[in-house]
Amino acid sequence: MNKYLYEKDLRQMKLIILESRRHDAVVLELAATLGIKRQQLRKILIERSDMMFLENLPARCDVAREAGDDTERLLGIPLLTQAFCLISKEDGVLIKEQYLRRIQDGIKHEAAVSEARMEMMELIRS
Amino acid sequence: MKKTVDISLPVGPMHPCFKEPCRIKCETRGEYVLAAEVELGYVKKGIERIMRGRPWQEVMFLAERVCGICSVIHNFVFIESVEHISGIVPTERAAYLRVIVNELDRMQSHLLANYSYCYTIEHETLAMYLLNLRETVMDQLELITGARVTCAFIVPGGVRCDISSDIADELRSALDHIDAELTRFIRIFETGPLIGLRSKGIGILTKDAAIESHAVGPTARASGIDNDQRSTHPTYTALGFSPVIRQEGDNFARIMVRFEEVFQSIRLIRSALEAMREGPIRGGGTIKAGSIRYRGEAPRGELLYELTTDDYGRILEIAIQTPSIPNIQVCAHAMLIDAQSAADITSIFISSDPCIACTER
Repeated sequence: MNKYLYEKDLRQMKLIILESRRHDAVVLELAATLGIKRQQLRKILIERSDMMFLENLPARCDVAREAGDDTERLLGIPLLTQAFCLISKEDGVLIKEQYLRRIQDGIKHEAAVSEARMEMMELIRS
Repeated sequence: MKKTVDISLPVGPMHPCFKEPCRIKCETRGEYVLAAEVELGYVKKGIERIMRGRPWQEVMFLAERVCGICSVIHNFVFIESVEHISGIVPTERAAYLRVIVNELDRMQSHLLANYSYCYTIEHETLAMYLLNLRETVMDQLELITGARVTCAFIVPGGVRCDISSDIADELRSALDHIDAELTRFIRIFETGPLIGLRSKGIGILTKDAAIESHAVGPTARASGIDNDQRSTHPTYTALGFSPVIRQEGDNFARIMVRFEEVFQSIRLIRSALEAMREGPIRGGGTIKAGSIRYRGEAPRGELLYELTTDDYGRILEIAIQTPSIPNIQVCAHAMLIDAQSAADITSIFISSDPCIACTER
């Protein structure tokens, strides 16, 4: 079997990037928004993103924090769609619409946010 | 029938066009680039970890060792960060001297970046002309600071050494020489038909993609983004600074922004020499405890230092965000996508002026 000279397992190096102070802060922020553990989010990011994308996460988050309206920021949609790129922008719009519909239907704010989070996690895992 | 093969095309880590090791893995259909991924980890220094817990006098020297090309700006931003924490204001003459040295550093960095690009697209003649011109800038840098790189010129409250009227005259005549030579070289670049083929409409970065990835420096300004930290710096505003912006967003625009910024640097140095009055080059002050998030404009774009100091002047926490981080990321995930030819991969990558030493600080 061929053994490629430069093909390496990059998981350890990606974890080192995510452990730095600024990266850890943005990972904690999104993990809190999604209601999951930081380790779970790290695992997802390591599987999905390349090293350069992970290095640039804090800068991308700085931009994403200023994007979107109040509802989108409350649900963490700009962070998910624009900074972390874990779900598509179209899915982000759908989640926001469903959240607003639930609020209109009289569902409590906490319950609507929690359902939106579950939908986001489903999309991330799919 | 023409056969199209889907392949994963690795470029690097060692490549004749790259100044530093870095690996780009491109997914291609024939020559068409579908996706790209960047792998790092070949020159990791861990310099932030080394800095932690050390006194500012040591960190100052470590900061300029983050990058061997734009070392002055690391010195500049680190010192201004600790000055802001401690309420130290540099003397007027020192502030102008800082601008002069910083702009000389920017000029040599831009000339080196454009040399690399010309070398990559196989215009070796222009590349060598530019590299030769860079030496004139390096000589001036050495004349003023005593070193070509890692000058340690900027200290809290001022600068390390003054310039005499003889050195100022020599600097002025060197600037005249650079101005005349570069005008000629730009004409070669702008009118060369083969340069146009390899540069115009290649590696387009849209304004939206640049904003989303927080692209900075000439890479962002070539896509129409008005983002230059010098616009808010007091010494630069006193010199009437305004950023160079182009709209095309391709390789050609990025190189032209750098060329135009060299002329801008020449103008800034001339204005600083005019505005500079006799006076002390060092003030006083001690480093105090505090935290800051401070930005400066490196040759490649916005450089961010986030640091915390204690009462003894030790650096308790430090995080450095170099401009190459967003620029390489946007290059891999926006500029390289849809490249029509595998030959364009290296030219697009080099046009974003990637610095791996900065990225792997």
